[in-house]
Amino acid sequence: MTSGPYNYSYIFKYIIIGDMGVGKSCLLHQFTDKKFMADCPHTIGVEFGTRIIEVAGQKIKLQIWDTAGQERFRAVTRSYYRGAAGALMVYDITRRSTYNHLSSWLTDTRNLTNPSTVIFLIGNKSDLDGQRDVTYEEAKQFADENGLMFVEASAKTGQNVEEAFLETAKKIYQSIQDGRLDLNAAESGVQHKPASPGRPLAAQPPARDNCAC
Amino acid sequence: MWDPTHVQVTVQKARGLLIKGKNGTNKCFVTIALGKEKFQTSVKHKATENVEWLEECELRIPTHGNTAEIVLKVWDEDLVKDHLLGQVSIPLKDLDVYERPRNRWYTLQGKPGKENDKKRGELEVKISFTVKEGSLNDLSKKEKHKSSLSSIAQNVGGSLMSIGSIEKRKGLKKFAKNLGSKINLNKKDKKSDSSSLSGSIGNLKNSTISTPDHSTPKRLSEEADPGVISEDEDEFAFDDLSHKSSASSLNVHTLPRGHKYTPSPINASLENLGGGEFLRRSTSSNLANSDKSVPQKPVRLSLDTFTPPQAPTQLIDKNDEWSQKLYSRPKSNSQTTIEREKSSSLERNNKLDSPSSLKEKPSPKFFKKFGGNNKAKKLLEERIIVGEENIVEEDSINPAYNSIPKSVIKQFDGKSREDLIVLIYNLQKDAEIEKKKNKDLENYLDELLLRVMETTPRILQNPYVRNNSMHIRNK
Repeated sequence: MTSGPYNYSYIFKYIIIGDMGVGKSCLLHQFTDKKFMADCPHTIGVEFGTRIIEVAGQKIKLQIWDTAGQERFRAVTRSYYRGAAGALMVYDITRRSTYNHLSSWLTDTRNLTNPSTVIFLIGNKSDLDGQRDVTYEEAKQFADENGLMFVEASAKTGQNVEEAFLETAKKIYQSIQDGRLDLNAAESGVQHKPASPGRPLAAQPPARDNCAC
Repeated sequence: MWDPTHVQVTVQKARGLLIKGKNGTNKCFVTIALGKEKFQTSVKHKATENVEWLEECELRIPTHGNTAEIVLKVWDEDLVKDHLLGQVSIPLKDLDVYERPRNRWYTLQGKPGKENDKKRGELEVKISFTVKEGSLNDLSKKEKHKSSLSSIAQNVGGSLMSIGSIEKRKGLKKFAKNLGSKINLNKKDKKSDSSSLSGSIGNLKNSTISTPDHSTPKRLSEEADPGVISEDEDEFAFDDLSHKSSASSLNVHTLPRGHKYTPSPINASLENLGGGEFLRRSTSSNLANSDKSVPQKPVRLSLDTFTPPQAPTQLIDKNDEWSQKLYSRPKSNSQTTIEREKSSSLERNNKLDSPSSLKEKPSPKFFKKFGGNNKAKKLLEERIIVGEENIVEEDSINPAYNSIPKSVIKQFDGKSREDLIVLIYNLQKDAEIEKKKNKDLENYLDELLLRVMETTPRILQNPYVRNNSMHIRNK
């Protein structure tokens, strides 16, 4: 996918959350690089990856934030969540405990993002079906009850990874079209590029000469 | 009226215990206390909420028997501090001495004074009353025994029985039991909190070695039996003991001085229990001493004299035989005869031995085990069984221990429990400091990160994109 650096109309901020070891960074890496990192180190800090996608003919830059899945509440937690247009909430289908913690992740997300944030539930490691510890039906039901979108995916094979990111973007875009998402709100997580210069928030385009130096 | 002197407490099993150990299991044992006496069962490793001991001990009823109570406590053994899982007190006055002993479940409770907030399970115990001393003698004799023994009993915590003519054998066995308990103690090296239980090998040595000289005021010179209780012998006996089954070393004490040691097949097979080397050595020292010894009735407690008539029964019913041995229930004919033969010399031995073994241990830990090593039971007829200790130790080894390289384990050779605790304590302290440092660092990094996120998030992009190359690298 090649597109010029300025050829996008929106920037969407995503965050990826979930327990340690569920494959957050691998999902990100699979999505941005289409590669599977077999020995992915534990994420320590906070970083983001980007990729430009196309939704309804519009180029959208996804800025996907990734951090450690530790339970500790960190100074950066609030900042991390703030202004996310999409939240990918990940569990590991082979480890029930990661599924059991979803409700607390969900609570954090609801508390620290805005109401229009699209939350997408991903049951990762679907390639390890033999070691499955959480059924699809069960997770699907959880997702439905909480108004989440849901797929099972595999960062290893790439199955459904693209879909999860794209579906989230579509939903966000839909919200913009519907007017449910106020682009001018500081924490919408979406930047309309023409209006973006010098925006202080995280979702700055890495563009041009608004560089701080 | 029947006036029992002792209670026999059999700890059968427990159910529904709390789990306080690691990995969802306990290292479970029970202490039994009455008056000043305290006994302890073996430690059941990886015990779940249901544990079975089938172990028995005998406690002297204190003179204030009408107010005394048997206190049973169930513990989870821990390196640092044992966890109390539950306890129950059974006042003796609530028990009917005439009742046929039977198993009863007692509900475990928390520490007295604490609210009983949780269910702590139950302990199945059998309590029976026995008469152990002087009951068959006339009263005056009984009184005499009591008074003459009172000082010893103080040292011994009441576990030393009469050494009157009828009870000699038992007395000796008692002694042996106490030895056994010390050894138990030693090997398990368990508690340091109560003096009675703090069995370091050093202690053990001191107490046993010193006794012939200091602790037996009643000892007459003609009763002295240096061949049996020479310091040297004791010392090396217990040295060896620290590595081996205590079974054989106990044997040494009962071996007659000056008595020619003739290995019987049974004795020989005793060597298989791991005490063989010692047995041989002790034998030779006996022989070496024999020239010094005044001719006297040999005390023969070695198997070659005692066992043959009983061997068949033993094989048929080890448990009963064993209980008989230790607790001198109504004796079989053969036993009684033997006993009479040996009685006088045994008495001497008792006087020598008993205080010595008990001097520093007011409440010996001892426990007899039903379910343990059958082989040992067969062989160690007249001795205290400690062969089971080996097995217990094997069971108790943490599986993770085996995966530790030998070279690492070697570093801890010769370190006492205290040394190790200090070591661990220091390491823990260091670990705490490190943890705190880490946390501070994390927080600092987070603070920095936060500033970056809020001012120039761009630099957090992965892969990092430089301003000028951004156009090329950005897809």
